[in-house]
Order: sequence, then structure tokens, then C-alpha cells
Amino acid sequence: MAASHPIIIHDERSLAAAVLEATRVAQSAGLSRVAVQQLATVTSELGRNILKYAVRGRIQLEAIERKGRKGVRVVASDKGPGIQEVERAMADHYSTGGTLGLGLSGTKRMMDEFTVMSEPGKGTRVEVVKWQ
Amino acid sequence: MSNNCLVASIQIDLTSDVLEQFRNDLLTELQARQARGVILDLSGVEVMDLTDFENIRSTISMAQLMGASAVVCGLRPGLVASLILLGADTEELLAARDLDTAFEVLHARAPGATERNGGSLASDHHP
Repeated sequence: MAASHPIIIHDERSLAAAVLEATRVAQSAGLSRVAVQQLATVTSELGRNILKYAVRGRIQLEAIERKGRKGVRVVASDKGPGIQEVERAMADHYSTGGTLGLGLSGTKRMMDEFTVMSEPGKGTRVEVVKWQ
Repeated sequence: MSNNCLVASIQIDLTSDVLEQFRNDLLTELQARQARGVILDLSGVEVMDLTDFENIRSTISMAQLMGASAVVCGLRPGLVASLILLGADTEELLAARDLDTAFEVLHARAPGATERNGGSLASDHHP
């Protein structure tokens, strides 16, 4: 499956474009209406985190297929300050500046697969998958 | 007369500009009409993340501080599922499934708010 071009996230307008693209990719992958909205919301949360903590980053959306099952993968990456303690950041109500704690743990709850990699000073990469 | 209700509707994608304009319009109208109730029709909103939600929630608190009871209505299933799973604090929100029910909820809460002619406010402008 061809990946769409990464969307550079640097302001609210580019974030809105990523959310719209997430909706389009999720619809074409055959996700349910509820799942489409969840994927769009997650994309928005991940983009917000980029804007809030790294100022600039990218979101890549990809329609994928595994064992005949369709899905969508979202990868949000940045070269921002990174997360000092990923475990703590994942805990509900933990946040160093806004809604990160809630956002990340909630994102994990909504998606079928969730991976976060972060190195302080180097950046953060969050990958999520929602299956049909 | 002061016995009225404002119906405010957001029908476009949320951005902080849209939400700020919406808040300003809503609070200005609330005062101008001396409205005692406000219904926020969010049926046209596809995606709401935590930041958008917090923004709307503070607008509702502001409306309440101006003496109006507020009810949100028309939230879509995917949006509701997302907000709850994200951990949004929805406990103090009054909600209804559609406009008609929203009027009923408002009437139960503040009978005076649903009498007489109300006003409406549609936020379909682009920033």
C-alpha cells in the first residue's frame, strides 16, 4: 500500500490538513464511522503534542493490510525535547504542560496498536494502528 | 424580555480561531439578549480533541457565569467515544441527543429559559 506523503505539522492549519487526510485514509480503508472519528481525533491529539512540545514535526498516514485485514497506520514524529519518562507521561493526568498525559493514554486506549519511542533531547515518535 | 434561550451551532471544523470567535459571539449575544439558557448544537462537528473540548468547556463555564444554563446536543458517536476514552472531564456537562431534547433538558433545569422567542447564533463563518 502506498503511503501518503508526510504532512509537516507546524501550525493549526497543517494540523487540520492532517486530520482531514486521516479521515480520508480511514474511510477508504473501510473503517467504521466511529473508528474513522477516533482515528481523526487521535491524529489531532498527536499533532497537538507536536505543536505544543516540539513546535514542528510530521505526520504520516498509511493504509495498510495484514492477513487480509485493512487498517490505517499513523506515525507522528518530531525532533523536539522528547519525553523524559515515557511511563509517567502515559499515566492519566500526568502532564508537563497541558493534556499530554490524558492524550497519550487515551490514544492507546482508542487504537489497536500503540508504540511510543522517545529520547530526551532527540525527539519523539508515536506509531498507532487502527484495524478495520 | 429576558426569558429566552440562545441556540448556538458550530458547523465547521474546529480551530482555536473558530472557537475563540464562537466564544466572543456567544457571550456577546448572551448579554445582548439577556438569555437565560444556551443550547450548543455540535452535530456538525466531526472531530474534537481534548484541546477543543477544554476550550468549549470553558466557554460553557463562562456562559454559566453570565447566568445562563447550558446544554450541549448532537454529539456524534465517534466523537463521544473519543472524548471519553481520552479522559475528557464531562461530568458537569448537561447533554441531550438533539435540539428538541435539549429544550426539554433546559426547561427542566431553568423553566424560564425556554419561554418566549429565543435567538440563534450559527458559527459558520471562517476565520
